[in-house]
Amino acid sequence: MFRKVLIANRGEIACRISRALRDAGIGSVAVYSEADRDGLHVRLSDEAYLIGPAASSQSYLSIPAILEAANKSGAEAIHPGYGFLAENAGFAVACRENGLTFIGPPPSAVALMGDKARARAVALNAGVPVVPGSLPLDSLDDAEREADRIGYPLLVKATAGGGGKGMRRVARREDLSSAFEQARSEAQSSFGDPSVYLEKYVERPRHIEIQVLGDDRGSVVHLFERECSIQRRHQKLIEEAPSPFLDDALRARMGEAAVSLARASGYQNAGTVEFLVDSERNFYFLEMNARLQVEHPVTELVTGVDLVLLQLAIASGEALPFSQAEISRRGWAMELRITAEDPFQNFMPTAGTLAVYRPPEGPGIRHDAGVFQGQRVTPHYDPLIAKLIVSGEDRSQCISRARRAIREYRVLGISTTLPFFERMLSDERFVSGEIDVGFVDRHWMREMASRPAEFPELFPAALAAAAAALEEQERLSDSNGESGSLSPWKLAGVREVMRGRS
Amino acid sequence: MRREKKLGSLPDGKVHPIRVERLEDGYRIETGPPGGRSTVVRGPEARVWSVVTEEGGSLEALVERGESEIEVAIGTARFRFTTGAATANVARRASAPGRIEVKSPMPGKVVKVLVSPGESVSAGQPVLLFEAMKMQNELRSPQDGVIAEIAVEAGQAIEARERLYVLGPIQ
Repeated sequence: MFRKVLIANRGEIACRISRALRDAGIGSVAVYSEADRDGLHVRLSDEAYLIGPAASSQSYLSIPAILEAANKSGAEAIHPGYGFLAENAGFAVACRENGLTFIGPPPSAVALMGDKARARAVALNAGVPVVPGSLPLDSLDDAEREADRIGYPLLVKATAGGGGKGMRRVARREDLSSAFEQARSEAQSSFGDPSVYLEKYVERPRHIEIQVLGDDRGSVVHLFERECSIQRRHQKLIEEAPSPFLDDALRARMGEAAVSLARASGYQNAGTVEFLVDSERNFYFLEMNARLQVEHPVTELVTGVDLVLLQLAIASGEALPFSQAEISRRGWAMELRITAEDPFQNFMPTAGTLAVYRPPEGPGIRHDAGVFQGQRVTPHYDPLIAKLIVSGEDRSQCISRARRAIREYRVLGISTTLPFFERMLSDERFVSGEIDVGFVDRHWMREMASRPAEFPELFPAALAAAAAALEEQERLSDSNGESGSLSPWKLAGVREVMRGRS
Repeated sequence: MRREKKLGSLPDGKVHPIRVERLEDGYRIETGPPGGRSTVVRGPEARVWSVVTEEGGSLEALVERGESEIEVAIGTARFRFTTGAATANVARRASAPGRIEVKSPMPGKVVKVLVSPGESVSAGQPVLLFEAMKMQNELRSPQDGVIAEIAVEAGQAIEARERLYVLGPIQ
């Protein structure tokens, strides 16, 4: 096992990794930018190195600065966390060239999963279902033939596309020719390449992902699923395990598919295979994340394993300590991402000082934070400030505990996603488990958040509290002002007079 | 000793006259409707107050005093108030009922103005496209109204709490 590990990250995930290192008796090295001098991750690590200015391009993304810190500290390995350099194959190679172990998959697997077309091809070869689609098509005749094979509704997508440009949804055969021509001309004008292909349109899909672990002896296992359908703009807000939608048969099939894909790509260490699941229980490979996920604690709570400790063990050359048959799960877990965003303003990021910050406690609560009371939340980095992870015997107890925890949670100084969770966890549709990736858009954006938060019953109390605090401050500054205006000589004179009186 | 003061509530700009009386461990507060009488007692730590209403219910309120604004949190509900000169300004500009000033929530850049003066907007309708933290966001109207004035233009860099636009009442 390693003696010292550098954490190339910040915020809650750097704190999480630092704690795992201390659990394992391994020395921890933090790195920080000028904006993070008093970051919580710096305080929780044994030593810390400044790696550059606030801009992440010059600090947390600077490979030379991080390698230099590793060299100075004498660390033997680097844990990249998620984001920043976690899925940068060049960084994984640079670590190796500098005699450092990159705690993650081999660079070849990182590069493979970063190339979506190659990843899709590997999945197909491994017998893992992908969203049915065609190769690039040049003629309408070819498109019609392929469309009949794939089935409607489908999407016409630009090969060079992105951001929805050159993309058309086609519900019926008679609409294909116009959509095909429009998509081609849009693709030509947007990307200089008219090439398009067809893909099946998956209606109201769920996002369900499988956690996998592989060691360097070719052993690969999965640790069941996480349901992450509560998301907006592909950013997850609530993740839970197990999924309220899967039965044991489908769970086993998806787990096997994820393991085959990991085997086929030479994957090692922790990774996540993401799938779309339609209402008919068909599942399709979406992509593989070659790193530790934000939502990994949900899996830890239902399986009882510590994924970060296992990452360290695997990277140091140890074998997986269990076989697939030895992994079991129990109960329910749910993660709520507390971010510095205003859910009533379309999740606009907010910045400010955490004047009050008091997370909840009690049965079933795990709280992974990257901030503390009094800290400034700056606009430089990801708005995730903490993860509230709740566990219970079943989904219903888990939701009750999460609601209780939100009532206890105290934040003053910035807007957070807490009011979103408060309403979401009381929403019958969410509680029933009838969720899909469009849930937040349909129900939150269009109805629940269409009007700003109003709490008329609490307004009088808020007004009274504001008035009391204002009065208190004015009174204190008045009395300071009076004594401050008197010179020490005058004060001495006053005392003399008083003494004479008594 | 009783003192009078005024607080403005945001974003509606309403002015609330308040009477404050000092107690040993806090203040007795009297406000006009929809308020009433309550006792506000200092909590166990800074910024924490306990509000006891006339009916006897007790609520924990967290209060932070900014430069011209006071922020109050009760549970997940958040309230903002203006004090002193800021209240007078809000009151003057908000003299027509329902007229409110919308300010930027944080520093950033205006990407696009989606409405024009005189246009009617409904609550939740996007008014500006705003870029902050490298992300584009729609700034939505806090209530139904008519755009009275737009104080910014596309491409303009803005500070936190800078005036973005003024929303007037529906005619």
